Amino acid sequence: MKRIQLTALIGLIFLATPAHAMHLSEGILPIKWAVIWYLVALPFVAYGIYKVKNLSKEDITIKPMLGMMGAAVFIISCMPVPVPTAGTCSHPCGTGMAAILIGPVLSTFVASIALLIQALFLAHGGITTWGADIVSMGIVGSFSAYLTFKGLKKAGIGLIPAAFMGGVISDWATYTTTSFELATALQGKESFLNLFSTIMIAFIPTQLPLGILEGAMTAGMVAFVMKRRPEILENLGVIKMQSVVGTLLLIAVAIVPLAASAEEGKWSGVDESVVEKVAKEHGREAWEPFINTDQGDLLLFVFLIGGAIGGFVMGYYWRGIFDKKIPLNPSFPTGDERGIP
Amino acid sequence: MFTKTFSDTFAKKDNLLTRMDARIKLAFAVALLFLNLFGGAVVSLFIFAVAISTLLYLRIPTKALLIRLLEPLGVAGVIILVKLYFIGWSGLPEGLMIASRIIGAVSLILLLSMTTPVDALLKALSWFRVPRTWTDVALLTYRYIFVLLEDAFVVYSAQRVRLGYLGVSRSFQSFGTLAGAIVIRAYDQAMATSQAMRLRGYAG
Repeated sequence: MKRIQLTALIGLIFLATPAHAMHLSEGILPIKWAVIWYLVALPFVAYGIYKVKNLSKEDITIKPMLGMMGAAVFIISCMPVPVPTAGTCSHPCGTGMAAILIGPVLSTFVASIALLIQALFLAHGGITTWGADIVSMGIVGSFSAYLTFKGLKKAGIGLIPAAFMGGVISDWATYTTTSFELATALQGKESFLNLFSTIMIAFIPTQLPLGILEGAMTAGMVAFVMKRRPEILENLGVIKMQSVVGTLLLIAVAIVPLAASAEEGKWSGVDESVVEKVAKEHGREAWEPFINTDQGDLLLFVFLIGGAIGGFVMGYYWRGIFDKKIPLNPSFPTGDERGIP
Repeated sequence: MFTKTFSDTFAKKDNLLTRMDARIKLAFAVALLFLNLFGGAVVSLFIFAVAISTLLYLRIPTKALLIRLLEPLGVAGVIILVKLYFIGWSGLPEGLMIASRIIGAVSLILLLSMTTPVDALLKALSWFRVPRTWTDVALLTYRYIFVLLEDAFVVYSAQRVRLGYLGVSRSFQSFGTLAGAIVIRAYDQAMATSQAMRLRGYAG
């Protein structure tokens, strides 16, 4: 009984400093664990740097893009979010969102930068705990979100529910890792499992609803971008967009040889096999067509004219099919272009 | 308020420490961080005292210092309580040691970030062989945090006047929309910035 009360007390104090739920504070880790977590984190960050370096040779926009995503994640992770059950504020971690948008390796890279800036200017996390924070928020948070999102999407669950689950799993995985790191760091004479479970329990009142909120936020973010600017998700490789026109063209291309091969065979149409037969039986033979297109190149000429007219019509509306939308009144930008949400 | 407390405004002032080379400050800070981890509570408390008195001497507002120190101080308190809970009174010295380590390290980082602008810090880091790729992206991130933050405030107040954030389910929706709006702004800003960089001769 005493233990439950004290757990509740510790929980309440954690709630009093809620923004600290995710980051390990500067100086909290003994030197041994600081070095170990650095060693775990560095290969991932190094691989991220290698990947960005290679990508930026081909695509000059990659560095600004990562910078902006880092800034966006930083701001989203600084939003004070009310936690209804606890009656206080906490903040989401945001790396799950980044992982869904730009993939886990690049999101770990971005998280390493955001964590350093937070350590320097917000006193969230620290230099000595940088490695541990990268492991919990960057690596575990990114990969769990990405794998959940991709796996669920492959399983046929829609984009939005998959994003929701990605956010939830990423938040909870991060918090489990943080608890583990905290327990290893604080362990003195007490048993490790005891400490670990207590820290987990102390986190639950804020982190359980916060994880769900992070999921809702991730899903809301994906839904909003999907509604307003789906091409962003397509450019970042989150979704593969198949335009309806493209699909139709593909089907048409696939059908044409089929149709051509069918014509060669002995399959005759309904007109020939049924209607003509019945008509013949009743003594009404088909007569010569009024305009006999079989004469000379007449058929070819008619097709040519039809092709020319169709070509001009198609060429005129081509941009309407494939380019971005043509504004109805070019002098007055639409809401999207002015950036009004 | 946020921008003033959390940007490097104070580092742009002219005083003894801001005039010092960022490389020296960085090396000293890292060395002292290690010392702080190795040496006992006395060393940490000494570092804390020196760092805070230096900051006060440099006329950094006390309020700004308190805001930044509040959170780590809370964590330090929690850790002392955790130790007391598990081991009893004999756990107090251990808890106090960890707590003093935290406030020592935090005040050290505070001193570094209050006297060194981010660009100087990143330049120093790249002198210490941190890859250019990383420092480039870090600089872009830092610079555009404040731009995007302004946009986020605009979107937030627009949502508020249109009855966003009323009730729990609506808050969830509003937060999602806000995050989405920020991502869209970030994407557009990235395109604009990379175009501007290329026009000024940036080639990767």
